[in-house]
Amino acid sequence: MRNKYIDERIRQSLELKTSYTNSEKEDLWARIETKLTHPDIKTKAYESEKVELVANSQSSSTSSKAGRSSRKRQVWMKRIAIAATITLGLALAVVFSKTGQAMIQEVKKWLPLQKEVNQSLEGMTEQQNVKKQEVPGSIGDEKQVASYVIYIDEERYKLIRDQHESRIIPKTPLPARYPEVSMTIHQDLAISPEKMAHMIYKDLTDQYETVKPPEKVTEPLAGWKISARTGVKWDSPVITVYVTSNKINGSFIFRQTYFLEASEGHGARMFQMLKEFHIEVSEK
Amino acid sequence: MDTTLYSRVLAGESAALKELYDLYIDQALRVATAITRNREHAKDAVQEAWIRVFRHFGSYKADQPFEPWLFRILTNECKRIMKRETKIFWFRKKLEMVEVSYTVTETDLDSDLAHLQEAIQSLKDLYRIPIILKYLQGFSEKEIAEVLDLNINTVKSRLLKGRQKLRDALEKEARKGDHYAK
Repeated sequence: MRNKYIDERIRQSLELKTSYTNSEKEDLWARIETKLTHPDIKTKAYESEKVELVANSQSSSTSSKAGRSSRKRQVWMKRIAIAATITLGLALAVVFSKTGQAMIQEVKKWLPLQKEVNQSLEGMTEQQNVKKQEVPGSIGDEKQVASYVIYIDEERYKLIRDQHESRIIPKTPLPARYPEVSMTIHQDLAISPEKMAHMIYKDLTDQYETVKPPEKVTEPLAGWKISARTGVKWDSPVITVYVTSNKINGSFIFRQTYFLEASEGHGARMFQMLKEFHIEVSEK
Repeated sequence: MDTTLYSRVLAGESAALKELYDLYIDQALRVATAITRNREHAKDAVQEAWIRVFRHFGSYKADQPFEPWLFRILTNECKRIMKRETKIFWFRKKLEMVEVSYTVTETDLDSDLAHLQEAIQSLKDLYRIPIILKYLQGFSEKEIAEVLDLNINTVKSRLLKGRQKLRDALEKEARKGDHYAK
């Protein structure tokens, strides 16, 4: 066969089905442009979750050397966990004593008005200046009320409060083609976190294709996590809900709404915000 | 690159960014699709590559050719996505996600091209990617060496071997055709 003929056939075969319509190219440009102006919208967010799952599965087939090192690590983790449990137990004993209650009531005053936190985004550490937002407790018949403090990166977000809930949304509204990005904080005075988590799970199952059942978490706060999504496109809606105790008889519910591509941007920032969530219980 | 366009992109003028994008987007998408073998992954790779290009445009030297710089970033992005996809393959299967493949079937066009594309795509990446850069992008051996950060002799040898494999595949197909014709 002649070389020229072969070269031409190779070129032709490579060109097959590699062209794109103008609308596809314009859509791609719109995505690039938005990411350049809104760096919070990160790509391929859902992949990190998948990679983590793969890493978990791969860890079971590691070599014996790695296995030994993993076992050593596990022993240390256990020791640390025991120490942490003892510390937590002591802390809880303090918290539920009368002195403890008084201390909690003072917590709000101790918290600085603003501080710097390190935010990890796609493996990079970013320093943020976050400001304190105080939200008074709900009105009810209970003798005690739970109010809270949360720290917000005010360069990017703002907190809107109404009678029933607080809502944290991007300070600069996203262009219309992007799905909603928000985190609502709601307090239920009567339902325990576990019961609430299962109720939310049932509710989300009716609305989303993929819903993960409630799982106990210790980060970003101690409580329950439920996550849901529909589809795997860049703009597929993602819901992550955390439920934690309000330290009386009820729960705080955090409903994070964003989309797949924003998971490592807004999703990570919301996670960070919840790490800086503090509850204050006071007598009425 | 045109020095005026270079200065405008460097200044962050949005119209200039779009102008640069329009100049290279067709080729970038073609190359990324051929490398990743998947249109959606190709779009992801191209998107990330352009974001990197614009964010790090300051490190590009105007007196150097732009294309090898752009395609080096793009090729690396494609490789990163392919690596990631290999890792999550089992998970993807579990989810029964539908691959958006770009593979040509015999019913699409003439079967020779379909077989040839199959042969190209079944080559190892070390032969396949230089071939894509040569035939689809029209890069010289020197430019391919620059894009892939390889010695030029390595590129020459890989192109030669890759091409020989494709030639064998084409001849085999031709013989098969003759056999059935008789």
